[in-house]
Amino acid sequence: MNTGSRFLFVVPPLAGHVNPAGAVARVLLARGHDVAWTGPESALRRMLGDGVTVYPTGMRPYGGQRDRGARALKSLWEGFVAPFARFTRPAVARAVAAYRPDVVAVDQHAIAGALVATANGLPWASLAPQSMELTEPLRALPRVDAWIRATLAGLWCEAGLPAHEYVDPRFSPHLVLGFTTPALTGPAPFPPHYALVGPALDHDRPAGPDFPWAALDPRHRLVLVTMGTLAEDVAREFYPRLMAALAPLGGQVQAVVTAAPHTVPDPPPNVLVVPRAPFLELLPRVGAVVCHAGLNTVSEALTYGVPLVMAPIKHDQPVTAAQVVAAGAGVRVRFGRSGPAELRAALTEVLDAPTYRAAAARVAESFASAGGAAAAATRLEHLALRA
Amino acid sequence: MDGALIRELAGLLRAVTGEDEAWAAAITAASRLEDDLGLESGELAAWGDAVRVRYGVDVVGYVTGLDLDQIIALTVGDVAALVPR
Repeated sequence: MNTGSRFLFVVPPLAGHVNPAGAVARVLLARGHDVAWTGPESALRRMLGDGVTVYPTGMRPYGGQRDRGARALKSLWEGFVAPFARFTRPAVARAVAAYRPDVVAVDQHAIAGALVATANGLPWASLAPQSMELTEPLRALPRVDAWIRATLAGLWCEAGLPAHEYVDPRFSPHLVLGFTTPALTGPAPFPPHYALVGPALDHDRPAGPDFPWAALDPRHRLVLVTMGTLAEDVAREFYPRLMAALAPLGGQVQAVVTAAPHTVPDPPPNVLVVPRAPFLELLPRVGAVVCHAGLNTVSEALTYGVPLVMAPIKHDQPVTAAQVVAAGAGVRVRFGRSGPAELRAALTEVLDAPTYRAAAARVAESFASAGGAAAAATRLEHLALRA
Repeated sequence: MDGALIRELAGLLRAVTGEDEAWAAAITAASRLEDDLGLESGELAAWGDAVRVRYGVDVVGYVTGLDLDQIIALTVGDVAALVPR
């Protein structure tokens, strides 16, 4: 007899959002539940594998990927979150009608899921895979915050939902799953229906192409570099400065850079550029991670107690970087302007001063006790039983 | 616009960014902090501190009261206008 529940995940086609959701979904499947996805099909299959059930929403091109700062925040909402919600809502409604889920798990930037679940009277959970939509740092900018809230209220009304029943579609009144812990967010007083479960890492994520393990020199300290999946084009201007920072450290430090090889021209001999790397397998032997402070990358590094040098580019990345700095587990550099000397100083500081690794270990402990994907799955199961 | 004040503000920008003299010399009242000067949030905070120490003007407090389009369009001249004559 199948006593499992049915969970529908609604996500945008972005690795930083899909990966933690995928880890939670894998736990639910292992516990005998049924899981389906709705979103842009080819992108979801690329990240989740071919075995998953997907109700496709289609995909349109969204711009603004090169923007930074306030301009990036504007293009995120005006150019992606709002039009993605409008464009996908009919398809998400069809997915709910066809799949008949017990619970809808909605990424905070896949607003259509919250609107459709509410319209159908279904319990729904918010998935918060990034820092911006959990501690609400934009409350410090009241007019920016109000503009985002007005955008969301507009989407609510367009969906035909009654204005007097409005709830912020980023924050489910039933359950908000944050993939972080108070070791990073600080002791913010979250409501009881918020569960900070820590990172949901997918240790069974499909492996990439063969990694040249033999090229690693165990006598050197290993540094892992990734600037994320969204910024490949923008990161080109950063790599030459980073290469110049790394070159004089040859003989002591070896770096693995995950990037399209043509974006990192002429790497020095102590730098290995690979399109993809088995991050979780490498991390136990890594001394420091250099990254853009995307929450997924930061979480992976800190799960293994690895300190960070962070060059945040946009969106929630400066927020995440500030949290890591406050926790003592890394230093922040300037993506747009830090030169080779500044980058090299930051890297050697993090590699040499034991306080960073000790602080990263403390964050790792908080992650381990928060429960991760298994704890998130348990909270979703409870929500299904309450329905 | 007070040209001497713009040069002083440009000097403080140079100090917090570590850019060179030519970069600072190209700054005008119309230079936008984000699009033209590429100021990151940490640099804005550091510049705001320096401006507050020298002129007693709260730049960061001013920015927090703006909307997104105003933040995107913010220029060195806008900040100069906050400094009492």
